[in-house]
Amino acid sequence: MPGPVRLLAWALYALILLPIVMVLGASLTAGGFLTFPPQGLSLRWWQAMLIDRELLRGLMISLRIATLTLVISVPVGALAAIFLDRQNARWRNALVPVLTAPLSVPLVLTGFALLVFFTRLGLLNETGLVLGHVVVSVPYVIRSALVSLSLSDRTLARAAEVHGANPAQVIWKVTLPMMRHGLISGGLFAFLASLNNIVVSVFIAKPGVIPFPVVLFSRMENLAEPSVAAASTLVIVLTAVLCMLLEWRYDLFRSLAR
Amino acid sequence: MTLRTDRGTGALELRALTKSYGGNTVLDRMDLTASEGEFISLVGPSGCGKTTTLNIVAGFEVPDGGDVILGGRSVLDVPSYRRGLGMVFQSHALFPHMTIADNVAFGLSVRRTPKSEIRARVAESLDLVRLSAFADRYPRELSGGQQQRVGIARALTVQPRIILMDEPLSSLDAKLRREMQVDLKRIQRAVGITALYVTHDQEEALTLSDRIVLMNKGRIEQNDTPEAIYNKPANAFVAGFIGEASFLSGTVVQSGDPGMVRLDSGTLLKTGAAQLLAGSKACLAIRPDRVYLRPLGAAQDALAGTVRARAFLGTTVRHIVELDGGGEIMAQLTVPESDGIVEDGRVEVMDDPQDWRLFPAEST
Repeated sequence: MPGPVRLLAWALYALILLPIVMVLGASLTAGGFLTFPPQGLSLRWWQAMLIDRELLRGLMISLRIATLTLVISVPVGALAAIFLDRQNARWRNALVPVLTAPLSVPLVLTGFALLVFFTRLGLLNETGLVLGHVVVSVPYVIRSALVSLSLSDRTLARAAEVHGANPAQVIWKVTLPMMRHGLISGGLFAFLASLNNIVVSVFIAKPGVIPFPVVLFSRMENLAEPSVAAASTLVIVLTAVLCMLLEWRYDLFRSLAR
Repeated sequence: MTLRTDRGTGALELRALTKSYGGNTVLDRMDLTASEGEFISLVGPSGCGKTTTLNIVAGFEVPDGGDVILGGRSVLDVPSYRRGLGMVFQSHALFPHMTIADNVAFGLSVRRTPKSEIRARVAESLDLVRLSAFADRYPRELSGGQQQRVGIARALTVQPRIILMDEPLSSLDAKLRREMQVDLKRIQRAVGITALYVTHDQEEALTLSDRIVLMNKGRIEQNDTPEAIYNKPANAFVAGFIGEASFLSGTVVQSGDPGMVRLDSGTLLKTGAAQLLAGSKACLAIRPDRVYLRPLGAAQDALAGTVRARAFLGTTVRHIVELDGGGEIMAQLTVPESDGIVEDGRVEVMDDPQDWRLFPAEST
């Protein structure tokens, strides 16, 4: 890489990574306000976070919702991808944008639409939160599952069928194993999309069931204590560890790029 | 084994099979019967309908008209997975997430065959293709030829009524392909299974088949043994597709046996039995190995020309001769026979009139 390009690359890395470093720094402050650079070093705000009932409760709720979202989105997205993959190109090109619309429609609109819809159905509760998150997460699963299907040999399904596998056995024994990498990475994105979701959650959450990002957001608006930075750092580290574990185990991103 | 209804229908029968895609006819009322244990090749240029035929038999495609009869029963309304077939694919299509043994066992495990029986039959199949040592490997660890032998074992393990093969050797290099042809023939003979084999390689079809079905534009041009199709091609298309041939054109001056044809160059040529009417335009074909050359002497009215190219092929030498008055003829001579014949030399073409095949001119 020539010098100027290399410099630009590092500048971009810095732009992406420095804010995260700042959050970590801010959480270690000894002072009473959210500032960077930190005023003295201490772990007092990490201690404060660990006994902050509201934050911890939000975190538990978010983890629970994200897990349920993952468990629902993966099979739904997998079946949708199998369906789409079996359509002719024209029909598929028309259907994919529809089924993955939440990726392109502004989240605020999706959130507002869900609010109107769920109010009617009486779903402004944790069930509604899970369903709302599923709506915005399924497209990630569909996308990456479609990629792994398009990379696999299409005659495999025919080979299974002609040797006696019924349609369910073809899916179970051949198609799903072929999609494995796509489903794992799609599932990871679905989980993270739910864990980080704030826009849809603000519309649907009701007092008592407030997901973690919504708690963080209202804290930052009202009392910007450094414990917020500590909690954020915790989530960033958890997310990074999760990604690295899956990457190490399944070589996810390389298999998608192949 | 289920009841074998061999009421003269054979293992497989295709009746007036017709298929078209958006107005483009791929199969036009195709009929075919295969008897038990027969090795039949479907041969033809791409787009001739051979692969479509195979896909219809396999149940991957539905014909617009006609019928597919397997073991005496129409299977058009039977889904692919209940037709009891085995198939070998050009891309091998082995399941990459399964071991070799699991690949070979696939057809039995989806049928919920008892484990002990699966083990015995997989061992038997792997033994047949001589890959017993590879049972626990994965497909990606095997060479292309080995992978295709696994594909053959997988197809045979289900003890199919008929094995379908879609250009199974075309992804292998030439030397391996020749070895695999011998292997394939040995296995098919050992099992005594009916085989329907699609290839665009006429040499492969000649080597392997009991019968060759040469297709063109959705129709069968000729359906015969390799010897008959090579020595007695039904028309100019067959003569040109199977084996090599030189073509000349002329006008029949005497029909019957022997026949006489006046070539466009003006030379009078004696041929074998000519079925065409005197005065009609004819296309003449002859195999390069039936043509001999000698340096031009004083003979009158000889088929003469100039050697334009010579290619040494090991045991034989290939000559291309430009005939006086137009036309080209290939001659394949043994090395001693080609002695004294040089490039740009004048030669006389020697032939046995019986070796010329005559076809109506419009069929070229």
